Amino acid sequence: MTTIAETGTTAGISLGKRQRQIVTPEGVALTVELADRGSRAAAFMLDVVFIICIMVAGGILLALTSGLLHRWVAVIAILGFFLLRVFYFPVTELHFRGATPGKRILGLRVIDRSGGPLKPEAIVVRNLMREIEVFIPLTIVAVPGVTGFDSLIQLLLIAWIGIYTLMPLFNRDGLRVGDMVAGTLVITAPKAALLPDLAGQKRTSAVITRRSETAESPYQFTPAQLGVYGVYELQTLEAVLRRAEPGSAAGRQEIARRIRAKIGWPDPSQSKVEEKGFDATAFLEAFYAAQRAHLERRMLFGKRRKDKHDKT
Amino acid sequence: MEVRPREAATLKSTQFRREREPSWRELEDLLEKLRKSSPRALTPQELTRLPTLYRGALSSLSVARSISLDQSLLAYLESLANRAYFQIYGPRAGFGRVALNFLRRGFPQAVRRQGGAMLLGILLTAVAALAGYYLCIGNAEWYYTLMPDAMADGRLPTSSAEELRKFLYETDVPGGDVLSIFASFLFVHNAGIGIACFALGFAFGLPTALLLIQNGLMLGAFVALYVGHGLGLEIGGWLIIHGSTELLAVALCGGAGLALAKAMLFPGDQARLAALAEAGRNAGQVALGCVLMFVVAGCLEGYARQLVVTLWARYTIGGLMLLFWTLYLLQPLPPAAEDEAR
Repeated sequence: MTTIAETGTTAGISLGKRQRQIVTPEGVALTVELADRGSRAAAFMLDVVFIICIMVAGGILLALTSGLLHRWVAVIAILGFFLLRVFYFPVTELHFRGATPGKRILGLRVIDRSGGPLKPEAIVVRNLMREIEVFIPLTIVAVPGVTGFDSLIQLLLIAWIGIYTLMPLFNRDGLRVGDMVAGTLVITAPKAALLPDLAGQKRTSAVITRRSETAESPYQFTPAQLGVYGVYELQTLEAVLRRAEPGSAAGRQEIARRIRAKIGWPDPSQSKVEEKGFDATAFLEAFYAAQRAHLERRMLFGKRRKDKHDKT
Repeated sequence: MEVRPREAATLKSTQFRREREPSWRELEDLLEKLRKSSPRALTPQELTRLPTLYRGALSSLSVARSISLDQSLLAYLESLANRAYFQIYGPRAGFGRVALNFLRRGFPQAVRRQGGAMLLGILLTAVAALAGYYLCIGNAEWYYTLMPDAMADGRLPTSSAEELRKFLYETDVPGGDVLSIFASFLFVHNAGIGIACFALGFAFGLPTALLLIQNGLMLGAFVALYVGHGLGLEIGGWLIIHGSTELLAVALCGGAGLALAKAMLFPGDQARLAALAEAGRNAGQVALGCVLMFVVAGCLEGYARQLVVTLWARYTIGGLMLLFWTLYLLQPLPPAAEDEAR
């Protein structure tokens, strides 16, 4: 039985707390990982640092060339500051396909919230809104008396505008005001390596040296034994097998012992393996391969067993 | 019946992976190249392969979800499809193309899509200006209330007509460099106010409306001051030469902010966030266009107003600018560029 929650997403892919699904124009649901607020703040700080660096460099350049263009120094300074403030973010975000230099360094990306193409206007809008998120509050705090109100009203004003600055803390998707207005989402650009298939022929070298594959494996399982666990347990086992740190041998012994007790292996019809010759890693790998084959076959018939409590 | 390892070795998912893996690797290499440099680094053949490989990766992902339980494979495909998706559906056109397209049709179209809000912005300014004018004409004391001291800059109801006139015609025109500084300062100042007007629309439009009304009231009070001293025609020329551009831009920015507020307060059939995003993208284009208008206004105010002192010339320039903006914003739009249809 497929639960409603499962049909809500695609093919029973369960979403983590920080994951969202977008549907690409091709109609395939992609799982994206929300950027956490800390790295977004850090990316912004980096960008601010870059802006300051550009300003300092520009200032030095202006000072050096002031003899040549002395009439224009002030104009360039005034315009340059404004253009940097307003256009640094949208121009770099356009150029680097949805990431300012700061975001690039931290591996963040801006995408369209509904999964469509990220339009240039969305990039412009989300960055113009920085005005009320950053620049107006900064001015109010940094320049006393700029609003012309007395201190109490000033305090209320800061509190009120602070809501907009702190907006990412108040919603689950970490949207800032600019993201809301532009319909965008900031995510971490994922980069997962393709690891060898544990159930395939490409065994990890460690296993091949330990046990030549020519002899028939002593670890065989009956369908009844494979019917005990579900997908969740299988994938947990996969994570265990992929973990290669030293000291995992004892852990594997323990896991193998528990699995054997749970599924009743070996049953009377199966050849006994002497305790001394028992190899936990080989056992777990064989069990993983058999279990996966079993579950995947059932999946082809539309029966996806979520975990060991699933009565499918 | 026993499940033998030989069967396990030829799982459908393993076989599937063996067949598709080369194309994933190829896509991965292309993506890495793209990330490191620009699309120009790819050969034409590679560029044409990219969408095919992307769709292949997406289909692999769909298949893998339904036949494979190998978590690392799923994670890999998910990330591969993700990264390819960014490249395919990231902003594609370069900045120059975007800018040109924006000037040709984006800006006028954006203004017209939210025409109601724009009219409301203009209306708010106009009504406030009229109110300010009649208040001050009736009772000069109002001027002190409506006009902040810094803005008044010594121009008070108690000033003589001669003093007031001096403000309208700079007798000693400073050198060109001072004018450029003045013009760029005015641009930065006004553009900042314009962007704030737009962005504050997110606060349900109240601050935006207040800014527009305050702007209008000051305008009205200022005009009333000069009319009271018999300088009505002169103040008109002084204002219209840059005001036809600047005030219009402020009103449009305000309109953009009000459009945001409308989407938040009355989202209609859509979800509030979706309505906001739709209105926001459009309104943002208006605000961006207004920044360009402020560039023009800054030049008019910084240079033209200081250099052109003949009354009729001032009226002509100001009037022509107004005509230009009206025609530009209401022109029949050129057909959409082909990448809009993508």
